[in-house]
Amino acid sequence: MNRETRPEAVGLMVTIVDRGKGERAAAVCGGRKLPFHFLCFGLGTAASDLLDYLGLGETKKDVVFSLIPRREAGRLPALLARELRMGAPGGGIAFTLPLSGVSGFVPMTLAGGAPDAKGESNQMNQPAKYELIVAVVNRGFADRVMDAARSAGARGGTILEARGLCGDEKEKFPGVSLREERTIVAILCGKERKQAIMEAVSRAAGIRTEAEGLLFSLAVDGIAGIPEE
Amino acid sequence: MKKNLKEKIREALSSVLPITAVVLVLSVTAVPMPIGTVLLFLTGAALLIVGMGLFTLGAEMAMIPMGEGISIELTKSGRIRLAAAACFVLGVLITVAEPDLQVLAHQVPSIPDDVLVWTTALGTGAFLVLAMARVLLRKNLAWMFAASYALIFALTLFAPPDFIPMAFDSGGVTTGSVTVPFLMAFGVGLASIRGGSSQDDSFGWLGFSSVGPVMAVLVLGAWYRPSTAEYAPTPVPDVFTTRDVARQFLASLPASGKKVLLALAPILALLVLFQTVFRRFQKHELIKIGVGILYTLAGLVLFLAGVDVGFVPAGHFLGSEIGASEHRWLLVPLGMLIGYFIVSAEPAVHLLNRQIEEVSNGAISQKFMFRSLSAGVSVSIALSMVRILTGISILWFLIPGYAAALALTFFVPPIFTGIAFDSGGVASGTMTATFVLPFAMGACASLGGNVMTDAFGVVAMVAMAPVVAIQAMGLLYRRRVERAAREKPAGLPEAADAIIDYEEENSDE
Repeated sequence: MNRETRPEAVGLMVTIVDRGKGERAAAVCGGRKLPFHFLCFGLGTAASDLLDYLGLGETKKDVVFSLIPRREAGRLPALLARELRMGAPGGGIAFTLPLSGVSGFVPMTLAGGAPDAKGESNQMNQPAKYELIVAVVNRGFADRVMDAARSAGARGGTILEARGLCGDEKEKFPGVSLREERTIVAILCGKERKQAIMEAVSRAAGIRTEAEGLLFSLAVDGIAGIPEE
Repeated sequence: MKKNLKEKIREALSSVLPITAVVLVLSVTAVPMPIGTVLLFLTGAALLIVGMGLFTLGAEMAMIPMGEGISIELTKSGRIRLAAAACFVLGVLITVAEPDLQVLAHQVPSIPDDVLVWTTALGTGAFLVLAMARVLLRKNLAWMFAASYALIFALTLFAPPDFIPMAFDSGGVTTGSVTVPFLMAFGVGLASIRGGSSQDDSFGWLGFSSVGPVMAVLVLGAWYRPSTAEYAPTPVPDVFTTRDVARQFLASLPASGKKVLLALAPILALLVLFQTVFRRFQKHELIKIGVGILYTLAGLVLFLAGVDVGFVPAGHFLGSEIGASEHRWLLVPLGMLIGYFIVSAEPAVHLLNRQIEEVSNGAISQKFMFRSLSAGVSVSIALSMVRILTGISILWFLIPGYAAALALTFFVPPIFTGIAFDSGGVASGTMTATFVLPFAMGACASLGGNVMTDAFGVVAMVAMAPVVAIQAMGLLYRRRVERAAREKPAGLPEAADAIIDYEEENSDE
């Protein structure tokens, strides 16, 4: 590949860490030199029902979306995992997703500011071993999704509260339209488990159940923070 | 799991320890205290720490999902009369039950407790309906506040002077520990499912529901002639041994238990009714809410026992000793110090700040909120002490203060207006009613001032400070954003906006 004439290829990195550590994560992967980090709030799912009932299960998370040079897709998650000690359970994860298009400004900026690779291996070309499963269900069914996913071998997930935006919003009061409450559950898993987990979730919380869930999965091309199996 | 617990403990410690340290240092320097009072105070502080941790955890598990759920389902039902009626009943019931209000009512000498509590509750209910109508009809919050406060200050012309400080105080304490999480979530929930800019409308509810009580009590004052009962100082209990201390707290547990049970009962009844009609919560969530309510209950009982037995006498003692000494001017710097640290010991403030951080996705951080609140309350308690020393009418502070606050509403981003008025109500909660107010009353009694006009009103001052302080910070924030926008590098090449398609590139590889 001839990098001189082509714009820098860009990937999307998603970092999920404990609330408050998102800024540190952004600083670790280049800070101002790689200035495309966007933070939103999520919730880590509980490891067991009992802990959840006691209010000690769910942990608040920072979810950071970062645009990074694609050639760093292997190195940056690993760097983050080391700096933020992600190896331990609940320590957080970082993974990258390939992008198919981007504003020209992003590669222009990234080309100048990527931290030195110091000859570390470029793992971008290794075959993806992980997938990101995303389930969008009605409010209140996140635990049903996770129960099903866990029974099929998933380890944990992240919850984002969302609102459905459909064309035909119902007008309940004059001039006031209401949005449906939806919950997004994102689960990272090994490629070989993907089908089983998706099927299990679909059975427990799919579109024909009261959870009215929709599922899709994305290929992940770099990952760190999941203990090796 | 450990992480969650650790965080709760750290938070509770960091919010109660500073004020404890201040009092402790005072007790060995400027204001020597009998060892019994100190012991009561320290035990109270320990109970406060545990109670605060349990309470915030429980409120987040139970009260917030419940408030959010009820407002969302009511809106979804689409029946405006039902929604308005439910809002009114809700407002009245939960205010009647608010423990902070009862603490205040109990300290007011000239009006029977029940009269004050019900007047306040009716005011809250009415204004909650208005607040809901505002969000649904998208009326401008700034104008609503301007109109309400104009009416309030007009009413002060007709109310007897003894009534005015206390009327404003009732507004401040109405939004106390039980009401805040519930009503706050109510507003956030409603704004979140309504289309349009939800962030801006998520807040302002609590601020608005503290307007109602002020108005209601002022109206009450126009025709109610208070009896001129003398103010009875809080007796400092005689304790000599550690067993006496334990006995004091044990004796107060049933009372605070009853108070909290009464406060939570209407909310619990509401949950049962609501769940039977709308069936919103799944089994898993219901169990969680149940456990959360138990936490809230236990937390509040401990917290109230801690403040009642430990903090009320200490506050009163401090105030009266300094007021009686020759260095009475010390009240002013001391008020400042106490004000700075007392805000973070207020349990509801933690919940509000967290919710603000959540709704603004971190743009308005908890740190920002705590700093602005501490600065504001610090100044306002110092001014209250000046008032006690000089006997100036409270209107000299409230009218310019609220005029400035209302003027600011037209210049700051709307979300700051809502947040500012909300935190005004929230900042003046349990700690203000149980420590700052007795402190002011003690000082006032020693100086021979009029408790009704000079000591009362301190809660109102605490409630006003954040409204000005946070909006002022909001103004700075807007300035900074505007400056940053101006400094953006101009003249980016056109290629910066071009869309690069990797798929195409890959295909010709």
